Amino acid sequence: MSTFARNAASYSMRRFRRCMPWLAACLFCGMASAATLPLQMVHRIVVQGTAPVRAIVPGPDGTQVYVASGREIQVYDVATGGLAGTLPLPAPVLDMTADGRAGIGYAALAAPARVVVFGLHPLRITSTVRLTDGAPSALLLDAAAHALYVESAAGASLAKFDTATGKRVAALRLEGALRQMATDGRGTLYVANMSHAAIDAVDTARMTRTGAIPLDGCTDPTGLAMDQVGRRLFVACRDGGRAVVDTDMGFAFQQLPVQVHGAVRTVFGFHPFGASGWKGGAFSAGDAPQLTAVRMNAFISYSAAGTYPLDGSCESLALDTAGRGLWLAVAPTSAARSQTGAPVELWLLSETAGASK
Amino acid sequence: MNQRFHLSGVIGCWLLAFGLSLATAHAAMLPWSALQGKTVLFVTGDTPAGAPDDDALVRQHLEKLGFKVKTVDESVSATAAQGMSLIVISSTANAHALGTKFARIPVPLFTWNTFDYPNLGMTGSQLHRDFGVVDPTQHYADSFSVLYGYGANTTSAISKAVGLKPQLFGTLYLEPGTVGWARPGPGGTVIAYFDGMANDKAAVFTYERDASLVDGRAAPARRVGFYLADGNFHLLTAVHGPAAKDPQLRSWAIGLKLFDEAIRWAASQPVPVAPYDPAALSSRIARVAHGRKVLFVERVNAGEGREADEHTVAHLRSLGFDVAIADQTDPPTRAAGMDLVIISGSCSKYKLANKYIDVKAPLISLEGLMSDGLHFSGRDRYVDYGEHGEEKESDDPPDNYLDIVGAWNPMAAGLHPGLVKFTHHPGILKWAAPLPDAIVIATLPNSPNERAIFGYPKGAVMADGFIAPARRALLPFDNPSFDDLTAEGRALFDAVVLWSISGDGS
Repeated sequence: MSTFARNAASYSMRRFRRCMPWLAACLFCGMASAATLPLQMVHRIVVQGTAPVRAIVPGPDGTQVYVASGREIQVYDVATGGLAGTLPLPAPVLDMTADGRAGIGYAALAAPARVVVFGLHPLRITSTVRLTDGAPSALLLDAAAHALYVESAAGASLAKFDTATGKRVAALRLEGALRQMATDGRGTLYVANMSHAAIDAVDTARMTRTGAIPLDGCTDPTGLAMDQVGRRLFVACRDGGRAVVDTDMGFAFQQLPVQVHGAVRTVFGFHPFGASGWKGGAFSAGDAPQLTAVRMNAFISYSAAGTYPLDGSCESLALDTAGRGLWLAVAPTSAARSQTGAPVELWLLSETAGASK
Repeated sequence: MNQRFHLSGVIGCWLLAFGLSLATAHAAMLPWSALQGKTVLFVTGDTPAGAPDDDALVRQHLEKLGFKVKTVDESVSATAAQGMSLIVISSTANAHALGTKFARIPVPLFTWNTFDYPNLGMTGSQLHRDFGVVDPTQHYADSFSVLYGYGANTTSAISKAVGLKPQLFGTLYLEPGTVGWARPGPGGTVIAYFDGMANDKAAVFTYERDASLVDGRAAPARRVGFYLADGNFHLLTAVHGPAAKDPQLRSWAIGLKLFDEAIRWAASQPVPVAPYDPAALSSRIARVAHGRKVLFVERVNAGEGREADEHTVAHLRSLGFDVAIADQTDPPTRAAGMDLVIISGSCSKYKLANKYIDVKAPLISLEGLMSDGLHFSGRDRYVDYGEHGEEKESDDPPDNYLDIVGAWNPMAAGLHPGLVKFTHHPGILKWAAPLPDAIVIATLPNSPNERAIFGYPKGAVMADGFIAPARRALLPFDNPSFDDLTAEGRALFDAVVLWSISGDGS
């Protein structure tokens, strides 16, 4: 860097960073990647029972939160933390999703494999759909398309159900170690596949695999979330890599290593902490006792925003779509659980006051 | 002194080894399988902590392509390139520290170190005029403009491998970019320009081995200049997943493919060119001339040039061609069934009108002033085409030398790079400024932008978007020039004729 000729480009890039406001923000966040996320605890709720929390669904009005745990759906009152209701299920639940606007929830059960359809208000089972493509491992609801996708990692399959009729529309055999799914809402479903450093793409109309998006520098993808407006796919990998993919091009244009390893699940939301906070953020948590976040500064600018310590692993997470914050199901370490019987807790995190000013 | 002696000895050994290897080298582009295990000397430098630096990614990528990569910094001795198949120079290396150490090394070289271009003779030495770097701070609008490239050349080996078309493509992913650009000399081949930059700032350019560099030397091995900067290799465009099924997107996001194919070209051996030997050249023509029909279009019974036309026709017949003569006023249907059309300088541009423009047979023009009509060049007279030595039409004195810049191509008849006496006596010499798809063989002396001999391969993009239906070539004759040609000039004529009738490749 001792001569102009040597590094005019990098020299220019440094100047560029100083001059561009959004990039300056990006730089700030980049520097903060090892820092603590500016989050605060809003609510902390003890989950009943000892079973793992498989899924969290914030209620549409924010007053209640639904938790899939063990053989039941539990409903908690957010303000008091009290148990507001339970829905017993015939088998352990593996995943849950819901269409809050329609008041319908879906829970995937194993042994025998099936999806239980239930009403949110009142909380009751309305129907059961038998699954024939293997034990379910994940659900994804595309409410606008009236489609429920059921992934079976064990069965190496992906099945599509019509939520209006409950009928299985089509299924696709998908080899590999399947993890989280995401949809662009425009006919393509993406599946994190740990068996190759790539994201599988599926045409949901034909239920055919239409290719894979490679992820150089992001190995073992597990977490996946979609920004359907910016058409960005946020990928979290077990090796700590984070990638942002332009799905129009199938091109991972940003790599943001966060140094937090382990399998995770990922959620994305615009204004996750309300209108005055972040423009957007993708949050990932799982095996490691840390929450990580990729902050959206602009549609072409993302940065590793830092980490937030957890008391244990994260069994599930969800964003409140009304911007009230991020829900996490935090399980104490197995040692702590065996010694003290510490329960799983629901945490609602929001941005620290003034952090985005 | 000892160092200099040692270096020249090393170069001599390389040249010997290189020359011996030519006998078995016939491919312009080796298949990827043939490049597995080839060695790359990757020359890099330090960047400050946190500054963009994709050198590690580049190394990984080269290894993924099958190369064995040895990374060194700019202080490396030139002897480190010994035995290497390719030198790759990153922009992170200090161009001043690099100096000219690799300039004479007969190992192919691929670089995105823009400031090192002059050291290597790939451009002139003046920043902002001959080469430059666009960055988002000083050139904010241009930093978006450079995200768009334009396929300048469609017929080179790299262009064909990429499927480059005369249209826009995405160079880097959609962020304001830092890139290097260059204005290579006439011996270089511009593969792609940056869009919106007056079509004269090359994004990707090459020099074939033996092509003339800007500093007058012949390229000791293949050279490639590429538009990258320190930290944007990872932004080279590519398309995957469902988007890859869209042919439009596939031909748009070709940045990485362009990089790969340019690397492959650089690491491949050039096709050897037969050395200068007029007799051997005549023999080669004679072998293919028998039964070939040539239409020689002239002003029948012309005044000036009549004898030269007769002698040209006689020469072609002596080579074995079946030559028919057409008057400039004859209909272009005379070209039907012909294997080659030659338009004499005795023809009147005005009377010939637009005949033979789209003739399916190869065509050689012996009249540079017809270059606009034939789509050889633009239409701005004395800017896009013109002549030297015409008393009333040129400020330039008569001349009888040409500067060979494309010695690597058979059209150069095996002549060495540099000045060659074309005619015995100074006279009128014509020139034109062809598009980047043309293979430039010679310029007028001291006028690198005035190209005297060039050829368009079949399918090349010519002026006005015209696509060459077959090969097209220009020789810089004036009406009587043929009779005044030196042996070298005659060899150039023969070599251009041979190239023109020799198929569709470049």
